[in-house]
Formats: sequence, structure tokens, C-alpha cells
Amino acid sequence: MSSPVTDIPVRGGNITAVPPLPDSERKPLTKKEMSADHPTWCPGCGDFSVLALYFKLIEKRKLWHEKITTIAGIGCSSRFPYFVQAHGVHYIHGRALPFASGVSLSRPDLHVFVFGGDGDAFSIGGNHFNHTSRKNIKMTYVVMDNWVYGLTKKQTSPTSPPGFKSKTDTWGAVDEPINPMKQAIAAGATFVARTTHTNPNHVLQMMEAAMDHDGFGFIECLSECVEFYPGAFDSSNPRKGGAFNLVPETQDVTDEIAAYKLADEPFPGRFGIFYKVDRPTKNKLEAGINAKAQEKVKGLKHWQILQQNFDRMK
Amino acid sequence: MALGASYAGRVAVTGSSGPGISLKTEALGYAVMAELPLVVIDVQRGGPSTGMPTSVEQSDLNIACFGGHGDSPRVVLAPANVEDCFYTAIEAVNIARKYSVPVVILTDQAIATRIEAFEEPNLEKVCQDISPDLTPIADFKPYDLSASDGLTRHAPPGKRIASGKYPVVTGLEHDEMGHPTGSPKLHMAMNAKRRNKLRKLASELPVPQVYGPPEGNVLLVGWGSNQGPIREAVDRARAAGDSVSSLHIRYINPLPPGLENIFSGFNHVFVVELNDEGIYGYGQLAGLLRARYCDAKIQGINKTDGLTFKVKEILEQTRARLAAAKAQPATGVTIQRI
Repeated sequence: MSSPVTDIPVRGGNITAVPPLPDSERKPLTKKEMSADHPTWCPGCGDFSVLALYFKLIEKRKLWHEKITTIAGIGCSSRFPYFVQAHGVHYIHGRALPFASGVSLSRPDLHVFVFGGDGDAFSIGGNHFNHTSRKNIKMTYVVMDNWVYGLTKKQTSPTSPPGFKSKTDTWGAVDEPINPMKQAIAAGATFVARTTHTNPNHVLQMMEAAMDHDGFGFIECLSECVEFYPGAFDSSNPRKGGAFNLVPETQDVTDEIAAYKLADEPFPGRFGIFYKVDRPTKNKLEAGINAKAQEKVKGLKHWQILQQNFDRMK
Repeated sequence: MALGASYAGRVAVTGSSGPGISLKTEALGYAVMAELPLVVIDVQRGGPSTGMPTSVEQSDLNIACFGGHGDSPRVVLAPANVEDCFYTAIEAVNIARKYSVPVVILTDQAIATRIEAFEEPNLEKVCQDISPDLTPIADFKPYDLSASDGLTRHAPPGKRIASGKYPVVTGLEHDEMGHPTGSPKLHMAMNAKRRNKLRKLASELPVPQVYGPPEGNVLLVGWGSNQGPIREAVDRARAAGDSVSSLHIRYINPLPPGLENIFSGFNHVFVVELNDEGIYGYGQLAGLLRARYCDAKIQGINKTDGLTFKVKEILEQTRARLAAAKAQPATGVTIQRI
């Protein structure tokens, strides 16, 4: 049963290799090195903040260039990977999380960051959000929530408030919006935080905390769409006469019910870490299963393991 | 998730049956556009929709070849039996990785629930190193339009690119670095690149061998689990003095070369498959072959009762079609009713 196409492919093809970079030559990546395409976002878009702070995070934490993986779905904020000069993927609508899960689970050596908007995360992506949360797959997920479908020019999103007039709801939205924080807590996410693009220091703080969390780190970042829903978050912006209220210091972030109650506060609500617990990640649990199975066949080459299976069938 | 693992440099395989394949077509299209290697196993069963979950059918050929919007060429292989599944799996992985393309393996419930003994493979010889290649490189463009072999290669995450210029893998139409483009020239060039990969593969495929004499009256064409009953039908027909041969096709998309020469050696070509005769009287592989070769003598022998072909069913249908052809000379479109 042989044919030319059963020939084993040449690894690496014809791409020339270079020697590895010694640790001593690794410097923190600058904004210039991390910048790629100029963002397609409107001037004043909240997403610019998140991008700038992502670069700051990378620089501050001295992440290795090749280890950074930026994954997104579809939407304005999901264009993120093109604006980051690193390995990146622009995947299909709503499904950045399962793709990122595939990366995270098969490559424990990488930093997996996922970006998206409220439509990508909670509309078509709703199912994946629930499962990735409960499975606690290691990655950092920042959702830039602007309460509208921006890329497609103003349709009601799952987080749009009732009464919001859009092209799909010309008489005002009638649907009860999703509460992303409640959704995340209920889904079993082990790190649930909230921030807003108008407080860059806080965004960076949250991103760092999420990255340090060994598990699925979810951040809802309010990010104003200046074109299709301007002023949506003014009441959370002190510069616009609003109030930026942090999660109270007394909050027990391991208390799930308390987190849910916090999430129930009317808009603008609170900002900070609502919930953080340590629970074994799927990465760790799967690695455990693999290690146990591999213990049984220690010392054997892969083909020898298969040979054992074949021998049992004789 | 499989695509995530594939992007990460792992060998990625996923499996499903009809309904799952319908769901996966969106991601399959992405794999075609982003040129990510992937192996998708489709264990065909009665369709459409929930259909007959535990009955055999071969009605997913069309979705395997064309499922998903846009021009989205992908490789489709169909193993003939259990032993062939073993080798087709290896071949699928090699094709997927060499051509950076999704490969659909069309098997069916009959093969899937069968036990067969086959000659022990040399495992040490067929196994290969499948770990991601993370050696640092100087510079590179995944969707390189000037690559001499026309193929795409990917740098998995973790692979350092010394120039500092990293590509993006995407479902949008893109330039050579994966950045989005609406350029008319680039879309045509990239479509050509994706389609030419399959042409290149086709040129490397072996011409399938006819079972029986290479010329005669009837050629029975089959794919998938029909190989057994068809061969036996040929044996019985020839024992009775009839001029019948058969051809088994394992490469569904792209088709292997040399088929027109083979077909020209016969008066009648009947494609035996477990799917519906459709609006025009021929099934899915027959449709593919007719479209490709513009030959109206390619007809269908079809059934969808959820059971494998009995040898006598094939022989009866062959005789019925020959009788009908004698009574009514071929005029192009002839609807054969069972």
C-alpha cells in the first residue's frame, strides 16, 4: 500500500535555521518591536488602550517574543492579532477559545492570550465561553465589551442595554442583556475580573493578575465604541462625571456567592478582581493522565508502544 | 481545538460522522484558507441530518469535497477496508503536513464495525518524528507565492523568527505574511495557490489498477467499503462468461490520473455507491466523475437501505442497466428507475 505520498515529509522544508538566542541577549521587548499593522480601529476607540497595555505587559514581564500567542475571533477587537508583532491567529467567529484551548493544551511552554468582543464572546461564542471556563484551561481572555456589534456597524449585542436603538432594534432593544461577570462565575471560571479602558493602570494590573493566575483568566474590559455607542460607559469614568469604584478591600475573592452579588450591582458596578480561586487546570489534569499512561510504557519508543497493541491482537 | 493543536505544530486528527461534519464545515473552510494541516475522519452513516446513526451509507462525499462556502479545495481519501484505514491514516497525515491542507478520510459504518486480519506492518519503518519543529529561523513568509513548490509552510508558536517579523494565520484573504487584503490580484493568486496544491498532489498519485481485463463491456467503479462485493461480482460475472471489470477509487479529491484512459476501454461505466441516485439518476462519485470527464456513459448503481451491497444486487442492477441501455440508446441524460 505504498505511494509517493506516504514518503515521510522533510521537517522544516527549505527554511534556513539560525542558532538559538542566548538568554543573555534577550532584552524586554519594546513597543516598536511589538507593533505590527496600524490598528483598523476608529480614533478614540477603547481598544487602543488594551493594545498599548498588552505591549506594556509584554515589556514589563520580559516575555520571550516567540512564546507569545495572540488569538482572536471576529469583530473589531478581534483584529488584535494583526496589530501585534508575534505569533498570532485570526480565527472564526466565536471560536477563539476552543482554538486557544488546542494551543494551550498541546503546548505548555507558550503564553496564550485571547482577545475578543462581547458579540464574539457571548453571542456565538457563548457555548465555548462556558466550557473553557469550567474546564479551567490555562489562558488569559480579555473581552473588550462595548455593548454593540461594532464591526458590522451597530446591531444589538448580548450586552446591549434594553432600549438601545440599533439597526436590528430600531424601536429599542427588548432583550435582557447578559451579565458577563455573572456568566463567568456561574460557568466556573477561576479568575473573573472587570476593568475599563479609561483606567489604563487598572487594565495593566488586571492583565498581570490574569496572566499570573494558573488557569482560565477572564477580564471584562469596558471599551467604548466611539462610532456606534459613544458615551455608553461615561458613568464609570470620573473624567466624564462618573464613578470608578473598586471591588471593596474587604471582599473575599474566593467567595462565589459574594462575587455573584457584586456582579449584580447596577451599572457602573465595581472594578477589580471579583473572584479568584485555585483549581487544577485541565492542562494539569490531562498531563497527569498522560504521565500515568506513559509510566506504563516507559523506555519504549512510540512505534514499540503500538507494536505492543498489535501483539495483543495476535 | 484540533486546529489549535495543528497551528501549535502538533499532528491534529479529529473524527465525526455526518452531522458532526456538517458542524465542522465552517472550521474546515478555515483550515483551507489558513492552510493548516488537519485530518478529519468521517465515518459515514445514514443521512441527511440525524438520519440513521447506526446504518451504513456513503452519502458524505459531496460535503467532504465541497462542504463549506466559497472555493475551498481540500483532499479527500476513502479507504477500501480495515487494512487500508491503517495506511490511509498515515498517508492523510503526510499529505496534510506536506500540502498544509485539511484531509478528509471518508470511511463508513461498515468498515468501522468490522474486524479484519491483515499483514503486520513494519511499525518502526512507518513511524516518524512528529514533534513540532521549533528550530529558530532567520525570516520567513508562510503563504509565499514565489515558493518553487507552491506549498505553504508554517512556523508554529515557540519558533523564533530572528527578523522579528511574525506572520498571522487567518481566515481572511491575506498576503504572504497572513495580513488581510482585499487586493483583487492577491485573492486570485491565493485561490490559485490553494487549488494548485491539489493539482500538484494529483500529479503525484498513482493510476489505479483495473481489477480484471483493462478493456471490456462493463466497468464497475466503487469506493469505500464496496470493494469486496464489487470484486466478487466481477469474479462471478466473469465466471458466467460476462465481460466485467472493476475499478476502486481511493483518492476522491483530487481524482487520480489516468481515469479517462481506463473508462475509454469500456462500453459502460457503472458507479456503485450507497447513496441516492438523486434528481438525475446517478450518485455522488458518479456526479464527480461525470463533471470531470463529461462522459454520459458514467451511470449509477445506487441504494440507500442502510445495508451493504449484496453481490447479487450489484449483478442484478448491472443486468438491468444493460437491458435498459439496449432498449433505449444513450441520449445523454437517462433516468434509471429501480
